[in-house]
Amino acid sequence: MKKFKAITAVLLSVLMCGALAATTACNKNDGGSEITTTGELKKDENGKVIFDDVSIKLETVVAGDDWAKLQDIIKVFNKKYDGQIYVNAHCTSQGLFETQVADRISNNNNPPDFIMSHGKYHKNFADKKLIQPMNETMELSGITVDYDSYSQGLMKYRTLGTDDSIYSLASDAQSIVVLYNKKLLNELGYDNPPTDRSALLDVCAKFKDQKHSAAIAWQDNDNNNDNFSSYSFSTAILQNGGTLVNNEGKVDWYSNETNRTAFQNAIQAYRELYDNGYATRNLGGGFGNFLNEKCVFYFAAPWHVEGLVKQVANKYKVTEEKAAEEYVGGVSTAKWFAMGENANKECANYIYGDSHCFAMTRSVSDINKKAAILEFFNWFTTTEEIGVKWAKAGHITSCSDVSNSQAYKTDIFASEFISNFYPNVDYFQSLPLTSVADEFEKTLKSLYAATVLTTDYSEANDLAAIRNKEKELNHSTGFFEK
Amino acid sequence: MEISIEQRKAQRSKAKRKEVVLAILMIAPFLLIFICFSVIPFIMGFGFSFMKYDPYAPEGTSFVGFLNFKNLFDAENPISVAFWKSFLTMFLFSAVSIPALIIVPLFLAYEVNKQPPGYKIFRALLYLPSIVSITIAGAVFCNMFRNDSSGVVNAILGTDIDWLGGKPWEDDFLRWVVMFIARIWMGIGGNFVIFSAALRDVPKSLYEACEMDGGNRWTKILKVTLPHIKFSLNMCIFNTFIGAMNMYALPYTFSTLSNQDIDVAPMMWIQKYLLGGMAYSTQTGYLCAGALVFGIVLTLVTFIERKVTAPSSKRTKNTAKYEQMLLGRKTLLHSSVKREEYNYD
Repeated sequence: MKKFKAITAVLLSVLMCGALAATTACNKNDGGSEITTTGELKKDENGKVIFDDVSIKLETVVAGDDWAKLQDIIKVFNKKYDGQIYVNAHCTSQGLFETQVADRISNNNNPPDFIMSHGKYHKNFADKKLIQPMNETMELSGITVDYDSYSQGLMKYRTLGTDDSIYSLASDAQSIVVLYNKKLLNELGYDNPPTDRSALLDVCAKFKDQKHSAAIAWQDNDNNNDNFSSYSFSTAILQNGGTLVNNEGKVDWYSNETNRTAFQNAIQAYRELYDNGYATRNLGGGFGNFLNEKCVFYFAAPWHVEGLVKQVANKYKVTEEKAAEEYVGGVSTAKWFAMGENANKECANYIYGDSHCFAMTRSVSDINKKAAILEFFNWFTTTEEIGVKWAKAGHITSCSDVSNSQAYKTDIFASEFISNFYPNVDYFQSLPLTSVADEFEKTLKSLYAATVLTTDYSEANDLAAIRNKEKELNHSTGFFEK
Repeated sequence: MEISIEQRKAQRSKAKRKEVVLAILMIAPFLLIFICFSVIPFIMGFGFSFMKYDPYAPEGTSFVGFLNFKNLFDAENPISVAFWKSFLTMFLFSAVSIPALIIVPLFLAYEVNKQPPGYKIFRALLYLPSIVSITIAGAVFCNMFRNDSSGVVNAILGTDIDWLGGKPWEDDFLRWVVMFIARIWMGIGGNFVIFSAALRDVPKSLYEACEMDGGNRWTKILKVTLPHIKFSLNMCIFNTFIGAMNMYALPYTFSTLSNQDIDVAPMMWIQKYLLGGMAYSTQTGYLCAGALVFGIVLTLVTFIERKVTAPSSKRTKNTAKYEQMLLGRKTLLHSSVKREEYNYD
C-alpha cells in the first residue's frame, strides 16, 4: 500500500509539472509575438504598389443584420481587385470576439490578418501586442491615410494611448437614433422635428394633451438595454458636460463636482420624460406604437432603421422614398438631453456611441499582405459608393469627404436618416481608452437601473449610487489593469 | 500432473497481471478523458492560483505565493465581494430549494408507491421534466414570466410585474422565485425515481409489525420508512446540494433571454471573468484561486453533510445490553456449531 501511495504521489507530481510546463510551452506563442516584416513590394513607375493575387483574412464583429451588407461590400472589393487582392471575411459575435479571436492570434492558430471590431476593445489588443502598428507599412508602400479628411472625434484614438504608432483606423460610427412620425408632427403644428430639449418637451407635452399618450417609444428587444445605458445615458451625461473616463483612465463621476452635476442632470433628463408621461420606464412595445401612430418618436438601433422604414412603407403602401418624404424621418439626439444652461454649450452636441475600427494583427508579416490590408482600409473608408452602402447598414462613414459627397447627399437613406442622426460627426464620442470597457458599460447600466428606473428616488440615493459605482469601477479597473 | 507451489504462484500472478491489464484497458477511455479534461485542468488551475499569469502575455508569469487568495478575501475589493455574495446567495437558495426538492418528491413517491389507478402514467409525467434541456426549460419559464402581457403569468394575474428583472424589488427577489419554481419543476423527477426505488425496498412486514405495535401513519413513516431510505435520502440531499451550488445554466439562460445581465451564482462569476477575454486576463491566477476556493468550500460542506448524516456511533445505555445479547447469540451459535460437528463425527 505504501508503495502504491508513493507511486501515486510521484505520478501526480510528474503530471502537475508536465501540465504546467505544457501550458507555459503552449503559451510561448510559437507564431512569434515579435512583429516582423518579410518580402518585398513591387511597384509601378508611379510608385504605386502592384498586388499579385494577395489573399487576406478579415475577422469582423459585424455579425448582425449588417453582416450581409458587409459581405456585399467585400464582394464589390474582390471584383474590383480581381487577381490582385482577395478579402476572405468571417464574422464572430461581440461576446466571443475578444476571447476567440484574441486566442487565435495569441496562439497563432488560424489567426486573421486584420480585424474590424469596436474601437473600445482595441486597447487590449494593443496592450497584449496582438495588433501591430501600421506606420512601417505606410512608409514602405506609400499608401497613407489622410487623417484630415476623417472625423477628428473618431480618429483621436488611432494610437490607442501609445506613442505615435498608428494601430487603428475608424471606419464608421453608430449610436442610438430617433425616427419621427412626420404626419403626427404636422398635426401638432410643427414643420420640423425638435432640435433641442425645450422643443422636444414642447412636442411631448402637446402630444400628451391631445392624444393622452407618451410621445416617445423605446426600441423593442433592446439587447441588454445597451442603447439606453451605454449609448443614450452616456450621451445624456456628455451633453450635460460630464466626462466618462478621465485622462488617467479612471472615473471621477462623484469626486469631480462638474461630473457629479452632469450625472445628476443626465438622470434628471430621463426622469423628466418619465415622470411627465412623455415616455415609459419599462421598455418594449415600441415600434408597434410608432407604426400605429401612438407615439411621435421612436428610439432605435441604427442597423434596424432600413427595415423599419420598409415596414412604414408597407403600411402606407408607398415606396420607401415616398415613406421617407411623407411619413417617417430621422432626427438626432444632439441637445435632447442637455439640461438648463448646458443647452448652449458645445457639449450639448455630443452623441456617444461605438465605432468600428480596422487593425492589422501581429500574425501578418508579408509586406504585400500588409500593403493589401492598408489598400482595403483606404478603399472601404474613402469610396463614396461604399459609404452609401454602409450607411444603409446603419453606420455613418468616418470620412468627411464621403459624407459630404454627392452620392451621400442624393441617396435618400443616407441623407434623410444617417446624416440627420449625426449632424456633425466631429461631435461623435466613443469610449475613452480603458481596458475594461465591458466593466465600464455594465456599471453604467446598473447606475441607470439604480437611479433612472427607480420610481422611489431621492437626491441622496442618486448621489450614493454615483459614489458607489465610481468606487466599484475604479477598484475593478485598478485590479484588472495590475 | 502436479504443480509446484512456485508454479502456482507464477500462474496466479500472471492471471492477476492479465486482470489488471484488462481492467486498465476497460477504464482507459474514461481515464484518458478524465485526466485530460479534469485532472490536468485542475492541476493547472491549482498552479495558476499561486501565480501572476496572463494567457495572452505568458512571458510575464511569476510566482506570487498566496497573494491571489489574499485578494480573494479582501473585503474592499468589489470583485471579491461579488464572489462571496454569490456564495451566500446560492447557500440561501440551497437552504430553501433543498428541503422542497426532498420533501415534494418523497411525498409524491410515497403516494405513487401505493399504486393508485394510473400511477404509471403519473410516474412518467413526474419524471418527464428531468429530461428537458435546461436551456429549453429556461426559455419556457422566461416566456411564462415575461414582464408584459405576452407572459402567461402576468396575463392571468392582469399585471405587468418585471419578474425576471426583479424590479422594483432589490436583489432580484422575484427572479429567484421564478428560478425556484423552475428548479423544483426540473429537479423533482430525479429524486422521485430514487425515492420510489428506495420505498419499494422497505419490507412490508415491518409496517405490519409497527401497526401491530399500535403505530399510526406518522409512526410508520418516522420509525420504518425514513430509517430504511436513509441512504437514498443522504444521496439525494448530497446531489441536490451540489447541483444547487453549481447552478449555472438556468440563471445564465434567464440573464440572456430576459436581457437582464445579472450575475448570481459563483459559477457565473467564475465563467464571466475567466472567459471574459483580455480585459480580465491579467487576473487569471486570482480567478483560478476563486475557483479553487469554491471547490474547497463545496468539499468541506459536503464532508460535514456526510459526517452529520452518517450512522451514529454514539453509545447509549442500551448499547451494552445489545452487545451482551449479541455475545449470547454468538455463544449459542458456537455451541450449535460444536454440536453439529459432534453429531457429524
